[in-house]
Amino acid sequence: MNKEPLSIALVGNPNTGKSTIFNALTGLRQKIANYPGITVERKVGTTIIGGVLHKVIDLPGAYSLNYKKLDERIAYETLIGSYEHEEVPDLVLVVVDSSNLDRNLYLASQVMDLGIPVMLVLNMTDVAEGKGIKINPDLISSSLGIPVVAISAKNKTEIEKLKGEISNFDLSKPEALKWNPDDSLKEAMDLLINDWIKLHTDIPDRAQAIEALRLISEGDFKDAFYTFEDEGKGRATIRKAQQIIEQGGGNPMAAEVLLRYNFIGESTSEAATHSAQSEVSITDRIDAFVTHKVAGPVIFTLVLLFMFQAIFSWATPFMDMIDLLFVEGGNWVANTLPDGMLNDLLVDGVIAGLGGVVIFLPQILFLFFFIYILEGTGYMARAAFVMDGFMTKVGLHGRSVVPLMSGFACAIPGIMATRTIENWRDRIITIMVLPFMACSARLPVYALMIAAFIPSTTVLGIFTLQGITFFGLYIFGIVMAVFAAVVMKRIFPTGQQTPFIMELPAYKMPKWSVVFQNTAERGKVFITEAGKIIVAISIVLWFLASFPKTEMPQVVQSESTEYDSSFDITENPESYQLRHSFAGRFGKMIEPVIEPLGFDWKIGIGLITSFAAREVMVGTLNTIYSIEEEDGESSTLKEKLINDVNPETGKPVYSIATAISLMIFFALAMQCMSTIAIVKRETNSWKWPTAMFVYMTALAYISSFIAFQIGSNL
Amino acid sequence: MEFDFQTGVAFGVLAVVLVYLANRFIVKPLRNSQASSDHKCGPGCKCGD
Repeated sequence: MNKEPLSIALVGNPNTGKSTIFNALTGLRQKIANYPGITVERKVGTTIIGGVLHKVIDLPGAYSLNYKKLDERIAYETLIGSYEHEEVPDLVLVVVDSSNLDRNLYLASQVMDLGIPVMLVLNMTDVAEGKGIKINPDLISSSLGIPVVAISAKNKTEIEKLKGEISNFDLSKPEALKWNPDDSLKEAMDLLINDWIKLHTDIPDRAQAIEALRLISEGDFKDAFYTFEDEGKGRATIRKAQQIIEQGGGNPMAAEVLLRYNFIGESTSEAATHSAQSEVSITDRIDAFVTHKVAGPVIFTLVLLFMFQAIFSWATPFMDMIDLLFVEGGNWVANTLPDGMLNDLLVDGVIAGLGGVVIFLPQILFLFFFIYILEGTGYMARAAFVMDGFMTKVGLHGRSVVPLMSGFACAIPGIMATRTIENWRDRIITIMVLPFMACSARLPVYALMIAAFIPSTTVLGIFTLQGITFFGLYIFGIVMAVFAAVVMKRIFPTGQQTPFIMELPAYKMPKWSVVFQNTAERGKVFITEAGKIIVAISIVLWFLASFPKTEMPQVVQSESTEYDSSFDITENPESYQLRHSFAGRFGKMIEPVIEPLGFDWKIGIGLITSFAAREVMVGTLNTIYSIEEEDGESSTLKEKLINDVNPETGKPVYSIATAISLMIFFALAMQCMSTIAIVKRETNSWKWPTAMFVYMTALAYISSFIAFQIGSNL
Repeated sequence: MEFDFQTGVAFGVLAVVLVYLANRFIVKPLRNSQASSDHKCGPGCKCGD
């Protein structure tokens, strides 16, 4: 029995239930952070087995140690011991999907070659049995020479079985390179190890063979993250190693793959038996329809339409409740605290600003709830597959689909996900068009404008005009992204495209605890991350909108007031104060630039503050309108916008044309500081974020101008 | 403008908020851009984004 605390790493292909095992082992004793300098999640937890506390690390999912993606690189570099602050694990649990054994064992065989104690965890045995696959763990164990445990991670008692196996595990190292590389591959590996790896890297001896194999199959360093001073020599050595394999009649890119699969095939030929019963699975039957070239896109569109209609309709009662809560809360604070500056700051600054954003929490929660259900069922992968055909037609790469779809939540993870696109030009174009995808931060602005100015007329019995407008804005983002991509492809033509291969996991019921947990996590991030900035900006804005203190001139005095020629005797003192505040003066200064788009100076201030985060726009408007409100008044932001009248023209500030113009501006403008920062980091240049800001803002300005001018003249 | 207790607290809050915003949008991004990855390099290898 192992009495010493171990560092246990979980490794496996994506969708093998690795995280489920991690959660089952660690329970609440886990910490999620990012790897230093990058946004790949690092999950670490602890588990107690036989009274001993062990550390458990859930490494990012990987198909191979010959990494193609950043996630896979993290897994590889952790296992070879490249990180100063991450020790090499004492034991690696390679989690494999039993229903897809051969492909999963490819990674397992690579990990075994690293000379670290390995245990194979055959997960999803129930799924395999459903597919008519029977596996004998003992036979696999004897052919691979490592302990094998078969479980279904959903079952708690089987997790106890796994814990028992860990407790009794003999920490002996597996025999390296059990799959016998042929002579030419062995010679090529030796050359690379002796002439390059030993001299130019500090990769430990046990991992040098696997690094040599990686370099041979890649044919280059292909690593944008670090460079060698003597790269030319390295490339020449790799080329020489490849030539050795070619002279032996092999293909350097495929040599390792073929030999490994031969070894895996031999190891599992007797251990895994397939019955003929499940030739066409339920998944295949559903896919025949869902991924059909005509039905597929129609289903995808209907799913999105239903999703946005539901977000809009189902969230409304909760939003009304939150709205009421903040209005009443504001009134209570206003009446309880003695009059003074702090009272005004709390009511008109903090509560109004925060209330304007918290109100959208139900819609954010519904949006992510649907996204996680689509992911959990396996439909999201199909959506990417269906869209791939379309993407290829417009000139984008299939690998762009997943980053673009991530952009629905937030552009930042989407931009990070473009690292999977190998071709630099394809990657840049995807990054440049990705912010058009309607991220969740735009949702509050869309929702406010739609609720206030688009009638809730029923269409086709189940949809409303509001829901359809909402859906239309998301489609508008996709269309603009595609349009921009087509234009950019013409400007930067690319060479031959590499094929897009992705795994379509079997359909399954989503794990509801995961769906609810992840949705709640997103809600928490929205409130804590965006909320902090919104409250901070609302406070600063309140000061800017409240100072300098200006007394409203009396009617008699107004004749001699040179400063304010537009003084209106019907204006209330609060409104007068706001117009003469720092914020008001700044808004008035930029008003001529935005007036052709139908925006007044208050919207102008919102456009500036929303650069910190798009949703700040709503908080800003709420703060401004609350300051302007006469004492004793209390109405919702929606009502304030509908009733706002321009004191100079006497006309309403907002019309349907203004609302549409504003929504178009938000759909197209590059108004997110964080996105600009991440683009700078990903492209390592200010050239691309600057170009992005200029072209998106120009496009937004021109489109809003056209929309407002047409709309207001109809 | 009278400088009473409420005004003092309000300006105190403003000061805290300004420090937070400066830290969030200026200091932290600057620090992040300077921070290098903890990737351990071999001889002749230089790291960087």
